[in-house]
Amino acid sequence: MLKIYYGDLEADNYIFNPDVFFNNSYEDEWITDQLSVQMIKDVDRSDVIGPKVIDSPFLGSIPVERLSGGVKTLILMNNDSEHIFNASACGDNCAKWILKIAEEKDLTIRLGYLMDFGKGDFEIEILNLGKTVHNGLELAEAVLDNHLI
Amino acid sequence: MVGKYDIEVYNNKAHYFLTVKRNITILQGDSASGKTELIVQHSVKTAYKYSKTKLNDYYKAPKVIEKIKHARCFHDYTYFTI
Repeated sequence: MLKIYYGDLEADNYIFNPDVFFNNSYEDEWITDQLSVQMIKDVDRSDVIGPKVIDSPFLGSIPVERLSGGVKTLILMNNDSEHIFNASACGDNCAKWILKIAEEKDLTIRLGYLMDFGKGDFEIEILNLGKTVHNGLELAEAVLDNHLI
Repeated sequence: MVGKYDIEVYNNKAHYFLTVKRNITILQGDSASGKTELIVQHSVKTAYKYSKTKLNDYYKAPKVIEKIKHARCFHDYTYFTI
């Protein structure tokens, strides 16, 4: 299940800048993981050549460190359960992948903006309120009515 | 900041042209749409221009210096996520 904390978060295991954290902590097998390959293909439109090389249609052959901040954050969410990551590093095109990761495990993230999770149904717990919402409208109303961002 | 500034940065892979009108500019968009690449390219260009600026140029071309100062602000303020 996906749990989201909106606004400023004070916690020892909170990672404000997942991009830099990823560069200093990722492991090779995270990159070649099947879900990572799919996310890199969808979000960055790039192919994983190996654990150290990515083929980007825009930048050519690039190291893993030049992946987008969004896909780095997604890979961290999937592989590092010890930390809470700042999902504001992700654009709206990462939302479906966040929901997919949260289908497999409990995932807690922090958001500073109203991410668009699409028009479908989902289950998201808003930690600030201790409330569970089931679609985009409920989520937007809960966040905006309570001035969480 | 007075007026607006045209900023053009490019390398052999990507080319950006944008006009900045305000003191603080927010870049937003999907992941992998090129926000970070713009910032990285811009900071490289700024560093390059700054290193190329000789002392005399401070007096001969104050507008260039002003643009460099502004460019640094541009870089500092936009490199944070909300």
